[in-house]
Amino acid sequence: MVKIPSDADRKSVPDHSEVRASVIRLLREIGEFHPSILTESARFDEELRMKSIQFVELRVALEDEFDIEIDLLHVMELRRLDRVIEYLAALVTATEPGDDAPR
Amino acid sequence: MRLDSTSRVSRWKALHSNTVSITGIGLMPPGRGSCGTSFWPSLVSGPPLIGPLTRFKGTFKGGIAGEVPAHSLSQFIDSRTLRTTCHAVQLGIVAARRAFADGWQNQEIARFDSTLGLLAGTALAGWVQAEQQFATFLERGAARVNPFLANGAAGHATGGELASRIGAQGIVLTLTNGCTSSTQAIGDAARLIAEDELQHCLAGGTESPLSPMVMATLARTEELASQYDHPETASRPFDRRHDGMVLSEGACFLLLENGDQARERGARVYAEVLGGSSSCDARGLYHFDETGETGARAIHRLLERTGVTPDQIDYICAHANSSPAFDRKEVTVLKRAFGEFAAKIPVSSIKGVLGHPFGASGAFQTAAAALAMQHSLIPHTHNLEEPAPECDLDLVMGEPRPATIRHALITSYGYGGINAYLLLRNPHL
Repeated sequence: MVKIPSDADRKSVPDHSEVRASVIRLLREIGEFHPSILTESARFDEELRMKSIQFVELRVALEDEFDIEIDLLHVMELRRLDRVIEYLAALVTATEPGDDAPR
Repeated sequence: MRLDSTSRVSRWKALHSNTVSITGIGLMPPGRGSCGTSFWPSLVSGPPLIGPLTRFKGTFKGGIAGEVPAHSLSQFIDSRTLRTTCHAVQLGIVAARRAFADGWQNQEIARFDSTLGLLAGTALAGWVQAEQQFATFLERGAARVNPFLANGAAGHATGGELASRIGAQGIVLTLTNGCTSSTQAIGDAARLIAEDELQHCLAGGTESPLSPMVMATLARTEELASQYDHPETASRPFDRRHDGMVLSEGACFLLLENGDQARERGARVYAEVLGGSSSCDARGLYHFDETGETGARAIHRLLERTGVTPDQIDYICAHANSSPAFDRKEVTVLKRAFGEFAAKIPVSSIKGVLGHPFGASGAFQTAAAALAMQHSLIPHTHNLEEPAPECDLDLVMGEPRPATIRHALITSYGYGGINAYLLLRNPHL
């Protein structure tokens, strides 16, 4: 008897808002940023002034949380928080396995 | 010019003029709740803090361990620290904070950050995380290695990470010296305070040894207890049926303080650390000095420096870890050191309850001895029912023994033949 995966069994793909929430939460943990600073247009090298090791920590945490591989240099080039979130959301969607078809 | 014995002792006492008080005890033991307050009750009335190994499954024997429940850490450690530090560091953070809070109650550590030292003993440091990261490296490639855990697995990272999370900016050292690590950390911390290099110091040990590789290694050398159908009775120091150790994880830190400072602020003093000593059998990783002479020499040196005589020692909190080889070494050294008097000094091991937390064991033993002084009660050796023939000392067994403890000796032994000892004094007598 083959077990047909139910909706509960399928791993749900995090949506944009979930990715955004994770990024904000991790930034607050890692950089201890006040929420008022974490605006959509906030730039990592100016408003946030993140150190390189903080980028590394953020990257490792997001990779573990979403099981993705992040191009850190690309993230640093994007500079703005909203662009980074867009990049990560696209990465999460592209990386998640498709639904298992019943056999 | 070589000084004679009397002159050496005089010079040592002149250099170590400060008394060293234990004013705080912080524990993160294995077992139920991992609440520090369960440690002493467990020592005197059980049950042991050991159970079936649940962390992972393996094909090797020895599925028993003293585990700290995962939820115990998440109650006390924030998510970022849980994510970026090794398990041994996390255990140590809880214990060190508890020790400081016990000693200074409502004071903030930040008040002392430039003068607070931290000496951490650990045999394996972040070995577990290194093993896990290597598995990740092999399975998923270099791009998925967590640099915080991989780099943080190194020995020195234990002390550094602990100091940064605690806020200690004085002298910070990690001693990775096998099972004697925390004993030597406490001894060295006491020496630094006695020599006026530090006013206060968190000293102790942390150990997270539960990994498939560690268990497999010990299983290959037949050093793990085999009674895994009965975890609570598997660790049997000195017992005729002792056949191996039970690994435990956990952390214990003590707040050591300049005695004058402790007295001036009216601190509660559990015990005083008179000093420490160590030696090495130098016969290889798995071989000991079968005569006990090397260890005895270190005990003699400690007694000579501190002016304590064997008849003034009322309790020996022994290393004895239920491994026949180590239990036998314990007895051999004590007999060599004390001669006929060895049979008159009460001895017990706490590892029947605690299991063996490797480098952190000496700190747990020191805490137990200090608490024994406070309670005037020697904890018995759990699961010791019939002493092995060679273990013919005054072993406290069956039930705790009321006693006035003027001085307590802590013994530690480790792979490589390293021997380490501490001598405590009861300041209330």
